[in-house]
Amino acid sequence: MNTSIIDETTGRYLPIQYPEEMPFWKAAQQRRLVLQRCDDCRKVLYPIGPTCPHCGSNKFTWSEMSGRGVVHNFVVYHKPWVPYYRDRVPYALVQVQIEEGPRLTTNLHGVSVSDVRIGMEVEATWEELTPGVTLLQFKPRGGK
Amino acid sequence: MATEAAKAIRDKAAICGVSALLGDYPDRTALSLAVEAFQLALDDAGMSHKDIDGIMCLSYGADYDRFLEATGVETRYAFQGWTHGRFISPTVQQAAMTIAAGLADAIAIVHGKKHKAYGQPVDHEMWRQGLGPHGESPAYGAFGPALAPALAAQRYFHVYGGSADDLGYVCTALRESATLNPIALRKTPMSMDDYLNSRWIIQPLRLFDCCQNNDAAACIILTSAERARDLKKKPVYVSGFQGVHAGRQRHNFTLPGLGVAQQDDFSFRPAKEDLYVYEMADIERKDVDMIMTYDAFSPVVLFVLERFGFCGPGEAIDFIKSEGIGVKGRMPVNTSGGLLSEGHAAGWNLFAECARQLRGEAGERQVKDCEVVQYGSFLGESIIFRN
Repeated sequence: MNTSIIDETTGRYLPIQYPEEMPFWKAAQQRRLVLQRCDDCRKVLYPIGPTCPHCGSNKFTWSEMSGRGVVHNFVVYHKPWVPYYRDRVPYALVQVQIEEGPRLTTNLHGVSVSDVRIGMEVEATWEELTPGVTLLQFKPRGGK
Repeated sequence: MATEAAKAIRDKAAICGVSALLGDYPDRTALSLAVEAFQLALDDAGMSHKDIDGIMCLSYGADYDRFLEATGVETRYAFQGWTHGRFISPTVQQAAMTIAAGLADAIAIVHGKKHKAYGQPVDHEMWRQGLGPHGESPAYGAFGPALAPALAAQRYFHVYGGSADDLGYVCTALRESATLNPIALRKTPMSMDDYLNSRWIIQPLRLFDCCQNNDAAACIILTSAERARDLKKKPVYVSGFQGVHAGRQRHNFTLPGLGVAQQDDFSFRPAKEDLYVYEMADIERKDVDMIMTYDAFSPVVLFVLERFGFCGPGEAIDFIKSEGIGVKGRMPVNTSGGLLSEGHAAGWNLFAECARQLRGEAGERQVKDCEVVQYGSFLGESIIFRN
């Protein structure tokens, strides 16, 4: 469980891994996307949380997602907010609507920022930040 | 719907004193700026600090008890909250209700903040992964309050057409108003070319789509309408209000329906129940002479016009071009230059401008025959002020 905020070697911000999110992070280590599916209304909960915002049930099962989605929205960062991004701007931040419904905020790999478009078909890919932390990303479907 | 109880507090409280300090004060503390703003507002009202028996402070700068200790003010109604941005108008609403209920006679809302200082709770806002108010996620490089309005603007132009360049109509109009405001921080005239040549921050937002940060202090004093009539300046009545509408469908810096984060996709048109502020104030939307809004980022000026139905979904750019939002426009917006050009006192300077316009003190930027000012924002929170 990662609780440090910054990777000391790269200066990159790391995701804080909250205890209740560990099934998500452990699956990510195996390059699998799992999210909570409500046992009552069957919808997928997102963001990861303690209760289903659709029906109020507290019963859910961590379930495998297809990993496929569509770019619903994106922006391009030109200002490096922290030193890690000084040589990495511009970079795209996307909100991907996965087939199961929720929208996930990630970066988009395997495509230049000027080619990012709303409606692009994408699929999950994985970025190993540290030996213990693998981050969900997306890439164009069928792309590298 | 505005209930009978809500209508009963219409015009029961009034703003009687205002101040705003904006700029660079390297040798001053946040407390010192807050005290100066308080004294300026007292002077504006023609009151003494002994007349104040209620205090509302922000979680920026000095805590309420330090402020009271420093000024020697004794109160019977003290409140401190995270009262910037979305929560400035609920704070004024709370003050008005408190006065209407007789729990305080005169309440000073005080703000003082140094742009660069350590230990302010709000400094952590942009790093709060999974908990932040603008969708922050630092591991993905998703930083800063500008993220949410950038996401909203991108969806807006995708759904309705137009492009990021159109935001220049907002920024140049507000800048033009700022050139008429002696205390504005950004008052160099700005052409559309100047705007278009400013650098990208988070595309589709450029530098001039984002307000600046500065040292600031402000104070707004409210009292009962009856007492306000005996004070130095013309009362600015709090006639109607409605709260912040929040939830999964109302992401920050976004209109409902734009599809930011988990929002559904649809075109937002306000229904009657979204507009009860007018009923509480006993006016109609067409009676509004000018709008003040929390323009930390330019897209929200489009959103407030659509949120309150001044124009239809996707029509705000055309509305701005055809009607005009400048001081002499048909619907002036943020006549001070707003946060984009006047400066940023956590939004409190916007209320100072409401008062100055309604008192006829706005000088070269005075809106002619100004009788009804609506403060409103994209989340639906609003206050109708009248003179």
